[in-house]
Amino acid sequence: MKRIHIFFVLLAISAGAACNKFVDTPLPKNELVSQLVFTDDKTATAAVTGLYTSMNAYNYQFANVLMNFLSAMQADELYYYTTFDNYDVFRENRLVPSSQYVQSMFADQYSFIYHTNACLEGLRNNNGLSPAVKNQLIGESLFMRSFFYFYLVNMYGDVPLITSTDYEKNGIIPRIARSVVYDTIIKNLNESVALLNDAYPTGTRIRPNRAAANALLARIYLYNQQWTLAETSATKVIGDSKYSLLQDLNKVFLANSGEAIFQLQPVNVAFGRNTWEGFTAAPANATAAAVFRLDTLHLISRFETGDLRLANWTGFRKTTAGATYYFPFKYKVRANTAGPVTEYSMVLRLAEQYLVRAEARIQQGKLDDGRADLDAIRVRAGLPKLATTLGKEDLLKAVEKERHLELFTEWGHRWFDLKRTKQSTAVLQPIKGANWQATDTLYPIPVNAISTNPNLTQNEGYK
Amino acid sequence: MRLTVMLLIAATLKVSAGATAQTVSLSARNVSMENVFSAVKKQTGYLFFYDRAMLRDTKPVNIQAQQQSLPDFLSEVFKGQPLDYTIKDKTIFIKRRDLPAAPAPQQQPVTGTVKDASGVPLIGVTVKVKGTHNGAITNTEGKFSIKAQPGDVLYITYVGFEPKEITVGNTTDFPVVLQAAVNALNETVVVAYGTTSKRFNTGSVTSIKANDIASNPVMDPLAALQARVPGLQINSTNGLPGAAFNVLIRGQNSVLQANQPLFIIDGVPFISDPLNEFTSANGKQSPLASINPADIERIDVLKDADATSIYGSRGANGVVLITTKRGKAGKTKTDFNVYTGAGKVVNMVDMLSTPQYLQMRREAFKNDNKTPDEETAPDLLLWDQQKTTDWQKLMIGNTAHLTEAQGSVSGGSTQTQFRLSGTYRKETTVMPNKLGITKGAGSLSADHSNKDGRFHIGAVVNYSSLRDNSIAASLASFTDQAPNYPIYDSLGGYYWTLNGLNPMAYLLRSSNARTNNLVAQSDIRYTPVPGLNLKANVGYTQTNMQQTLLLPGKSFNPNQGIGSSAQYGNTDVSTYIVEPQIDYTTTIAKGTLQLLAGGSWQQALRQGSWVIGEGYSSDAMLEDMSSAAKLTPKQTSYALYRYNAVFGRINYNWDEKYLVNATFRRDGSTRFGPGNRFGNFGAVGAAWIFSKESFIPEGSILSFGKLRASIGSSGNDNILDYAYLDAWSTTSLPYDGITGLTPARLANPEYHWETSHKKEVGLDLGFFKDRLLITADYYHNMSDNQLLDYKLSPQVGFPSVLRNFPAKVLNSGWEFEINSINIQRKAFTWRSSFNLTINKNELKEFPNIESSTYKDLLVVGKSLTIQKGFQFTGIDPQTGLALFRKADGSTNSTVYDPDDNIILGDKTPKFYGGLQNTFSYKGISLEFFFQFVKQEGGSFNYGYGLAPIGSGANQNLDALGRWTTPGQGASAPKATLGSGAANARSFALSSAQWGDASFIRLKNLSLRYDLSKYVQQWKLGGASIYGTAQNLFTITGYEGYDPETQGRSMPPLKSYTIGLQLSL
Repeated sequence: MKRIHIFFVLLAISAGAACNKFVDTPLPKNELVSQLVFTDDKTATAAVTGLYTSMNAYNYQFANVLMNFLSAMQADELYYYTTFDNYDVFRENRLVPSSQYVQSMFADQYSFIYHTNACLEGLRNNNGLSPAVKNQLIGESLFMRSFFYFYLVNMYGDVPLITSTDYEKNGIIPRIARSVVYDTIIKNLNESVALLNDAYPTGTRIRPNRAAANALLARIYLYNQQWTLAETSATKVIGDSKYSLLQDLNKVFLANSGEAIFQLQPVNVAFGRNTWEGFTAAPANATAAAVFRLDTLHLISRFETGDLRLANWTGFRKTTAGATYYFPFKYKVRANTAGPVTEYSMVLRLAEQYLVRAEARIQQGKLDDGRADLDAIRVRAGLPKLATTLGKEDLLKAVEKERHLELFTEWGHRWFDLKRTKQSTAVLQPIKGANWQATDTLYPIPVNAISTNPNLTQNEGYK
Repeated sequence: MRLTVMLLIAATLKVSAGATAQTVSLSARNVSMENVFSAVKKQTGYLFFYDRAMLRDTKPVNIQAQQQSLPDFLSEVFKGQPLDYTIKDKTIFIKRRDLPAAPAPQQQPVTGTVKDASGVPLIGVTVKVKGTHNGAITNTEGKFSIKAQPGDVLYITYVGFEPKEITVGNTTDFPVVLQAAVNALNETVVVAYGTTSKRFNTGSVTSIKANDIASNPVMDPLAALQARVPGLQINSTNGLPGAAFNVLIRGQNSVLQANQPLFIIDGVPFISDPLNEFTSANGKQSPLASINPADIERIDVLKDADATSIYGSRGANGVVLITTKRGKAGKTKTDFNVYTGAGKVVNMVDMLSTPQYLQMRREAFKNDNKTPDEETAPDLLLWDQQKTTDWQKLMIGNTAHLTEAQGSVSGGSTQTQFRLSGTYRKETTVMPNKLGITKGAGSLSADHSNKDGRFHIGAVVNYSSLRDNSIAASLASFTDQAPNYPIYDSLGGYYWTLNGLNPMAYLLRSSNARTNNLVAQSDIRYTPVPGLNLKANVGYTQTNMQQTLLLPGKSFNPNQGIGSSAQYGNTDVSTYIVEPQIDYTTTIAKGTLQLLAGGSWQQALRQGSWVIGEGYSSDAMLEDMSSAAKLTPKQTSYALYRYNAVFGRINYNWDEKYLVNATFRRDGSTRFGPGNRFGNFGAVGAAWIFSKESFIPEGSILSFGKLRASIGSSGNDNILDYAYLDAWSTTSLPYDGITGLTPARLANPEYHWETSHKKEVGLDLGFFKDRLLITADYYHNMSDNQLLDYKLSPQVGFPSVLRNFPAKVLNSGWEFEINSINIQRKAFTWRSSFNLTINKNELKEFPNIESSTYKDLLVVGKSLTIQKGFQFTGIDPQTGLALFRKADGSTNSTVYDPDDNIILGDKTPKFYGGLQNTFSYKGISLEFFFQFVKQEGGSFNYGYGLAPIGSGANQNLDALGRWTTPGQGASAPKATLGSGAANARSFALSSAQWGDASFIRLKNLSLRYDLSKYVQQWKLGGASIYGTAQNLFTITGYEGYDPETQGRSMPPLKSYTIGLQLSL
């Protein structure tokens, strides 16, 4: 019995061994706890710029090939050389809620929005940062969040408006009217304009400045038919001496080009890669075939003779059977192992601001001013100026055409232009045939969003 | 309380009705007490309650009684007997008469020494004087001292040995030699922190011993366990060597699917997560492939609460204990074993021939109103229209070769034992280019006790090195390459389409992995007094995997202009464990009490990196990281896990009849946030060996009967480290000159382990002197507080967050195990063993599932492993599209996830098991082992991402049933280039592609011939030759490669080996 007593004493001793200290592990070495991220300027900046890496780290994300090429397929610009269902659903306007890229573009953008919201919360709750850096970073985050919401409302229609990181709350937020989202975007962009500087924070054009906020604001006013405001904002950008329309079209998409308002620096540059757009669509060599091809009938044929954009921004090949096809060639580098990265992904550029202002001015009846803006684009493309006799309607048609030819395969411009000018069905139905329905102008709300948030409703045409 | 209940049950069993009188008439000479009792019962209706063992010491009764009152009669009968009685209602309770204090005969201490057959003293052996409370435990020299008198019977028992009875004579010092267990019930069963025997185990444990493992020529010990353990479900994911297995004990407890059991090798927890940074053709490699089956002594699978609760927050999914071989005292034994063999995939799938394929393609163009051109249809316009390449034959149709050589030396004295072994194995694959795995393994163990045996130290070091020469992905994916695709162009170079892969060029992408694994363990024991052991278990593991993936530019389509590159992965996991323990064994009353207490400190550190290199001057240097002009880190990983616990166990065995076992553990783990780290777990198990009761007469056909039950809880912490931590991680790719940060996860500091409440009732029966042993278990495991990777709407910004959810998952089922020696003659024996598992998985509760993110994935009342899909109703005779039933009851060719989904079936097998028969005749033994599984699964054409019929991919013969002309009845949709792709996708996920995947497989057939009698003249200790065949045939209705791997994974191999075993 005595031995049993000894046993229990020892048991009691070992019971004391379950100590808290042992299981207080040190933090992981490849992570930084959130409380520390926004306590100094450098890590806070890294938290904000981490977003640009995430946006472009891999191909087939929203911010690279998907938005640039798939929306061009949905419109009348681009096709893939062969059958591939993930692309064909866009080309043939038969998206379904489970289409892979419908889901991934939605998830991509909301994950970026989470990133901006986490930055905004961290930045606003910390006073240890220098005010200049804090303002720049808040302005930058608000700009980026607005940018994503602009795309979300134009792709999906009414969307949930998420402005915090509380996942419990955010998970069940319903869709909210497009106009409300736009109100928030406009409010935030105006804050950005106030917070950001004219100068880029590090000199290169790969982080947003005030002009970037004004440029996006101009686009959004245009989309909302607030012509005066659109003109004012675009004028601020056009009047900024940092920006000019480059006469050599082959230099427009280069890193820090004079036309760039905001570019994304390629980050995943293994194997001499530059942009994902160039890596995906530029042929490997002078004879290699291209797989993404421009729509000859509906895009290439619209170029007037002598249009330098056709010569410089597209390339062509012949199939083995002898037919000629064109491919997008704004980005020319597929891979260049020999040299440094020369091309950046263009997000906002000056030419669009001219086109925004042209349209805004024409809509306000300022036909001469509007035509002058269009001519700036045309002259740069090696084309004659427009006839001074053209009326408002003709000038608006000219705007539509110049936008098509200037901005093809860039960021869904053509697809959104058709939609906002209510031309989608008129232009696309003859091309797409029976597949086209008026409801195709909106993407379906992704199935994984509907199935995980009981408060979401589906768009018409996808029920 | 429990004991009382059992006694009452026993009593009830004895009741039989009778007439009622209060007087007794009996005239008898030299009759037993028992006969007297039955006469009394007959006359009075009074019942006697007694333990038959008590009657052994009684004297025969002489009595003359006429109408004597019952009390008078009884007092006369009991006069002079060592028994007394009391009457309560109509029952007479018999008990031992309290011994008068003074006149007890002087008991002399009897001493003895207990040793095993090889002369090693046995420590901690229980010695009891039968029919008394006297008991003793042998000391470190095997000696015991016990009070007994001549004529008393000593009963000596020890785990793993046959019990022995010795009658005390006049000598007082006994040499006792215990023989190793022959009866399966007495064999050792390894349980948590100790051992027991099948006879006295209160929990549910199934053991597989070296023999059964060795008869399978496999690399991964898990492969040898397949279908041999009831309740253990092991599925191979891929037929290539080194591929991981899916392992489940008693079904899926966790919605999260983190259901890996805890693997413990010689007391040291072993990693079960693959170390891969990136996958190869065999997917992710099984870490257990690093453990050498030839060095495994036994594997014990712990299933119920009684067996697993002592593992606390890690025991919920069951525990697999692997014990490696150690040296034994005695003559030095040298063994060699060599085998070699060859294998091919079990089955191929017939595909369309070139003319059939081309016909399908032409139809597709016609159906889609498109004109084939040389870019979109090179197969129709450019390639040979006759030639058919059998891609399966080319890619997975080769013969795999296998060679293994093992050698071991073991032996030692009674104080020191050792074992040294080495194994070399080379196994190639069915893919071309001599790909395969080479494995070298060594094991060294040493055990030493000091002279008086009080101190013992043992150590075992197992080391293995595995080299896997593979390619980037399984070639099974080239199954559907167009049959007329030209491999080479007219100049002899690789032929390329605009954007496709060339299968032969793909073979240039080599993926190599080297895994080095060290498991070192030491156990130290000190025995200050008999029965009390102070012990420590110390272990260390170090596992490292280095991977290279070489991607020469030549293997890429030149149209993509991709240069040569290489990827380097390196993962290192090191763990240590320190477990001081104290155990104490003593005899109390008629029982043996065992106490155990201990503590555990564990740490696991995992670090990994994945780097991409480019810019090599030559493809020959791809393997060398320093030859890269540029290195880019792709990802790094870091996880430190610490775990701390105290545990205890109380086990009481009363007279080998009633057993109680209670366990407790308190543990803490860094997997959880501060404040949620510690938890308490415990279990109680009890068993009643009713065959020892008097109502089962000795010599009846029922030789053993045990009823056992257990209840308790254990936890599951199988989740990622740091998931509670709100942190940002580095993006590794710099932007604007600095490396950015990105939110690492949605942090939830609140969650903790999920808890499994396990209940079990088991019955163990032995018949015909234990030649037929039957075990039946019913278990009921309810897992609640489910730790879910709770799916969130993508609008949140992250796909999921880890959190506890009050959902309940029930796994209940039956397990049966039958082992029998059907025939046992001198020259011929026939043994059979059979096991069967029927598991039912059910999501019992999921509060508010309708408003949760799981509403389309799970259904309350159904299994967690249901597969949803579309209800196929037929092919539209007009359009050729597949039709499905929509949720509103209508039929349509367009259906949507998840609204139109139905439950296709359940991926969990309905039942599974194995049957083994072993015949031995003189020196020849023949063994065959069948595996059977009743299950459902997806067909060859089931799944996401499959090419529709008519696209540029070949199809199996199902495509011949496609729709071609309006009005036609068909079994598959029309050929399409892409217009019907969405319809084809729905078809591939529909009931048309789901069905029975049950199978019966002759898993192992082995024939062995013992040549020992012929080789004795050469002074060899023994020799045998043997041949085995694995997966010789499979009976299944499944159409596809294989019902086990399903779909398009690499099927398992049918292999034949021959071998030679020599002992010196």
